[in-house]
Amino acid sequence: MIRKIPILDYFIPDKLKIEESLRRKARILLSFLGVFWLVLIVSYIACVTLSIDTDLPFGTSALLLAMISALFYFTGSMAIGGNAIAVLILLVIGSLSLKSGGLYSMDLLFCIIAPITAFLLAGKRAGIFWSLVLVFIYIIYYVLETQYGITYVEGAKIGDANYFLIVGILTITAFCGTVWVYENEKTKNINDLEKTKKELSILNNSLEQKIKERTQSLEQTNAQLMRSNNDLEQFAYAASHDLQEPLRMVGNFVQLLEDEYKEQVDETGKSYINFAVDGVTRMSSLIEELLQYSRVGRKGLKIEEVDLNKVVEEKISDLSLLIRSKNVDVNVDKLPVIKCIPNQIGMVFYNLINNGIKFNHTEHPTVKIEYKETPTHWWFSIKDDGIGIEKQYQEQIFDLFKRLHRKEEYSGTGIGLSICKKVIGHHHGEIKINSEMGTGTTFHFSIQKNLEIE
Amino acid sequence: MGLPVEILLVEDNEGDIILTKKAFEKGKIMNRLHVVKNGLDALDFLYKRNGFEDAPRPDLILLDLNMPKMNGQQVLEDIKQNDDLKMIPVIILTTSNADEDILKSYKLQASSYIRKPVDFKQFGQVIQTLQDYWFTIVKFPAKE
Repeated sequence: MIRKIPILDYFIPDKLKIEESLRRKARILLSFLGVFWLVLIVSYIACVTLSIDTDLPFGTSALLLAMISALFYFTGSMAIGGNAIAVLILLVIGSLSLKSGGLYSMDLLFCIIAPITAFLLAGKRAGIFWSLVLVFIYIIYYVLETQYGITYVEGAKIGDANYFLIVGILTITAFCGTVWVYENEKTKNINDLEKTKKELSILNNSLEQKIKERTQSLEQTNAQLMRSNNDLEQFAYAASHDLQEPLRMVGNFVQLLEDEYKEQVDETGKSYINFAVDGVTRMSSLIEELLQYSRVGRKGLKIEEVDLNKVVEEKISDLSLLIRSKNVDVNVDKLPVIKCIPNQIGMVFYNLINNGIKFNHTEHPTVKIEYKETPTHWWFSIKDDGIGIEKQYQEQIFDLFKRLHRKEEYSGTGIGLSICKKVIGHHHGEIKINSEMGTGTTFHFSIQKNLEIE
Repeated sequence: MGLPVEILLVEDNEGDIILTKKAFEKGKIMNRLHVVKNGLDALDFLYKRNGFEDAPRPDLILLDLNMPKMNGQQVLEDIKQNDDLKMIPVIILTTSNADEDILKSYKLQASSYIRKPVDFKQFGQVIQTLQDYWFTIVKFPAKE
């Protein structure tokens, strides 16, 4: 309920606003002070307006209350505030007991509010202290009553004094004891909580430390991987570049030999030369495609916005000789304008269309290119009615140098689909195959839509 | 077509020199192929100095990029800075058709590039096309 009075929050010292438990205590203390002020003002106004003659110490009370309020507000200390309120209660209610019957007064018993308040607001020590003070007051009253006969009630008996002393002390012990146990339990709980919190935070720290270390080592490994990957690409590029050189010499001079020494070389010799030239040609295209493969993902390749219709058209015209000789029908959907690395996506279309034609024995092969879009990707499909690929090989065909047929049956290096996969990977897409033996093969691949133009 | 066409081949690889010679021998156009094996000699040839005083002014330069001492790139830069020499068409010989190599050639303001082929027959065709193109279709600025 106290929480619902917003004006209280205004008076809470800043120091106590930090923690919720302190804030709650401050609210209780402030509401005590508020009630005192209210009682004081209302009773004063009542006395004045109703002309009641009273010797209640309004001035002193107001002064005390103001002092306590100011003390609490400016020091922001719950200990000072709590103790001060205990003093105030003892003074006000205790002084009432002087007039209303000393040891036998109910007011004296009401003074128990003081130690309880101290317990709740200023802590256990203050609570015990003020309990002892109250007991001490009881004893003083008792001694005054029994030893010196200074009594506040006419005709009181010794037995009555004993009875009131015992009742008083027992009541104080009972109430304050209960509060003490309660407070004790609470602090224990709080201590346990604090301990758990500490342990947790230690655990947390060590966990964070571990994560940090792991992240660091991961970053290192990543950097190393990147470096070795770059090195490898650099190496592949340089190697395939430089391998072409001696190969050219072999190829050209074997041919020159054939050309210039025609008369001296017989048919067997010519077939040997053909084998040599064939080997050189194949090795050359292997190197060429390795070079292409190593170039995928090299830095400095620009993502551009291109009309795919043009890209595919160009590739189809590169293949026109083959298309005409095998009487192929290539159907192409109207394709979109997308962001990609044009040369490389061109390479993917080239390889897939070429495969569709190459692995096809029908009289009139067809290759169909379609596309659709999802919110994030462009999806393209290249469908042929060729020989198809067995299920068990459908995963492997993307591996480097993987071939399913002898080179005498179908030419090729086994790099084409690896290039496709690598290119699509660099375009944050995926490549899938859907094929049935004898019916045909469809390759599906995707390209992420919002590739950033560098 | 009275005078033979003067061609300067700047190439350090013996094999390529022979192949280029053979390819031009088979060409229909009468030509004279002069060969120098590095960039420095190429410039001496062009400026007619250091033993090349009698060198003719070439109608066409075939330039290999990878050479010891002075590479093709430096030779080309020098040629392009000379008001007289920069009129001579320069064709770069590249080992690969990698984008990088092609781009490099054009950045150097080469007139064209030829890929050194693996297949000799193909190379012969390329040279033939080249001859047809440069000596029958393209009109050169008149010699002084």
